[in-house]
Amino acid sequence: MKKPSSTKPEKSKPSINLDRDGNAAELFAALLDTADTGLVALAPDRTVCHWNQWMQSRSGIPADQVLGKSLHEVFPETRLGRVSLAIEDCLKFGMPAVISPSLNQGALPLRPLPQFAASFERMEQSIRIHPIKTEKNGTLCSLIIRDVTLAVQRDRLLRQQAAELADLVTQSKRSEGRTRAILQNTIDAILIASDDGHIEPLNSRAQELCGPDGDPELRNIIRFLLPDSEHTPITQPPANRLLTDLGTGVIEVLACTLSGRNVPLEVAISHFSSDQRYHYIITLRDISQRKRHEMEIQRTMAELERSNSELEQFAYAASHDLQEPLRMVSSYTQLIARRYQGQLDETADEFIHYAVDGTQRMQRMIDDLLTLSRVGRHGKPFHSVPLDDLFDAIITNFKRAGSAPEGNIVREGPLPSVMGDASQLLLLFQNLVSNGLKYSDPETGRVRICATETPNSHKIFVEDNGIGIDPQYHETIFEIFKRLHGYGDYAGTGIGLAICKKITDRHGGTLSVTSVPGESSTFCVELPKELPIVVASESM
Amino acid sequence: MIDLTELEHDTISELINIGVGRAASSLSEMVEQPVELTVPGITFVERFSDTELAKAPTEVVSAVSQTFNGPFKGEAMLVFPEERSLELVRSLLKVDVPLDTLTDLEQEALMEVGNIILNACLGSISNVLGEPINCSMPSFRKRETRSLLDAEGSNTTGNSKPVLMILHVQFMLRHNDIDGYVLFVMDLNSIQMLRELVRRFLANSLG
Repeated sequence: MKKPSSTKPEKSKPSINLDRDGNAAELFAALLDTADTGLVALAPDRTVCHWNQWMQSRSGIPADQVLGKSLHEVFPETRLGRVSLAIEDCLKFGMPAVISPSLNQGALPLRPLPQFAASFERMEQSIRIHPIKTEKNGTLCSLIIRDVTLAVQRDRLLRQQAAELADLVTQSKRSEGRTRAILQNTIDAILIASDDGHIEPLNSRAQELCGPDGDPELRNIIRFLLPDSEHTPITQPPANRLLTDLGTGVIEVLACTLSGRNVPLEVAISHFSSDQRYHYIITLRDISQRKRHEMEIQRTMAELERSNSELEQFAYAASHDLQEPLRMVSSYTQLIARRYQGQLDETADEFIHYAVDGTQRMQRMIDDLLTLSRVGRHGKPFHSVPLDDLFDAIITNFKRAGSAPEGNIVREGPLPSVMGDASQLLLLFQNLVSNGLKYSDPETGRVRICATETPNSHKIFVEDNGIGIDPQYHETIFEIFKRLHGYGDYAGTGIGLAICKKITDRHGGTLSVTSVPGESSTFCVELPKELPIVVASESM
Repeated sequence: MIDLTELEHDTISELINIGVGRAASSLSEMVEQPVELTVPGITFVERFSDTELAKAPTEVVSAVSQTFNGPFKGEAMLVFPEERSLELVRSLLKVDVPLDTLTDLEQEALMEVGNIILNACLGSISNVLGEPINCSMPSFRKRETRSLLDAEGSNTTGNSKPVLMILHVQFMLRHNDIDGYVLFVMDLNSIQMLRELVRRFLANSLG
């Protein structure tokens, strides 16, 4: 700032003597006009005797229109109310007053600064009313008005944010409560483990298992199951506490609580990372019930296997031992037939023929029975069997036997490869084809073979154009010794389809039939692409 | 003890009640809700430690204080436990989001409430007794009860032992009642002057 001293002659004077220079009033008025607050002075009769520059600009009313008027003439709304009372108390009793923005919004009609105009109609004001005692004029009253719009705006913002925060807290508390309730009421025990080996039960079920009455070994077992971490030494838990082989994907452990209960548990482990560390969520499910059922099933299975093998043993022994006397009967009847044919009378020849035929049929039946019992007992391991090659062999067999005209076995499209026992599959399809030809016209009979695929299985259809099968027999034809026709009409032992059925069963597949009587029968062999565990283990 | 006759005691009570009544109507008008103020009791004590407030020495209180000067001088104070002061301001301002402490604006509002009540009490006494009193602007303080009266640069109580006139005030608002205190802290001379003025007033009006 420029010093005024350059133009003044009294250079040596350190300061201006206001009284002597007689410009005190001028200086004070100028000072008041530079103030960043509103300054109003009221005479004892409440008329305005000072109105500074700030008041002029904020009220939009110039001083000369205000001076000499009372305040409520300038601002009619101040005729009554807090400002009016405070001024009265000040002028009458000399009482000072604070007029706060919160209790008196926009006490005086003053304009806010442009930047607040959008959200504030009026300037927010903090007003102080002071008595000014003068010797000449008695008690005057001063109003000092500060613009606190910015503070009010900040306060509003603060409250708004506090409200949002409170909402957020309420919401998160609610959701936390919900999560906790879900966690607490889950039947599984849930624990969390951090990579430093610390394990914390998350719900009451977990607390029961890991708490003071729980299993003291359980934390150790869990640590053992978690992926390796260099932080914690791991000790192998007792072998009887791990119910399953690790690596099978299913983890089952046995918890032995101090209260004396043994609880088989299925363990599921998942992980997440937070705070740059790995955490594991361990879920323990009580599988006592399931274990009981599994035991039950295992027992029944063992029982079944035992009786099944007994039966097979019996069938095998029976058919094997029956062969011996039968061979005797058969060879001697055949001998009689050869030696005495035409030497006895006609009736005797006929009887001998029946006896020979009967022994031959019985021979075939016993052969088939042996085959049937061997399907279960003497199966070979499964491997991939290309069906195209298999049917090549079947067709060659039929050709060699001369049992079918050329071209009556038709293959449509390529056939897949399936997992199975090649010799049994050959028997299966040969039986089906042979059956198809047997029940068709020997001249025009035709067997068609085709295959389709489902996501999990291959279906192979063997369709003939023969006599068909009445739907009421579709279930029973696969039973042993079941024949729909007299022996004289169609040859066979009634065991063929039972063998087919047994072979598909062993391969974990199904055998079914559809038919239009008088037109065609279609046998469908459905073989799974992946072998069920039972079949796979049996075929090992 | 300060020996006041029952009549003198009642007169002071009456003066205070007039003032407080006026303050209540001002407040009601300002906050556009009914505000009632009563003074259930006035007591005089010689030691602050004898007061009801001093029973919780570490409780934080909010106080609005104005010094006064005239024939009798001292400091007038409206005192609330901090929580009550929050309640009061919030029910007057109809605030729905309470913060943990008074904001600047709330503090100023409390100052105005104190100013209105203290002005009304002092004004009423001054008016009726016919003696002008000079008051300072109100100031706000927040501190533990035990250090409430510790001088803050001002020496209103001087070196002489203060005597306290304690008004128990009750704000009756729409939803709740809030109890606070108005303290008049004076020296012995001032309280004797007050009694003298009251006596004179009684003599005039009765005689």
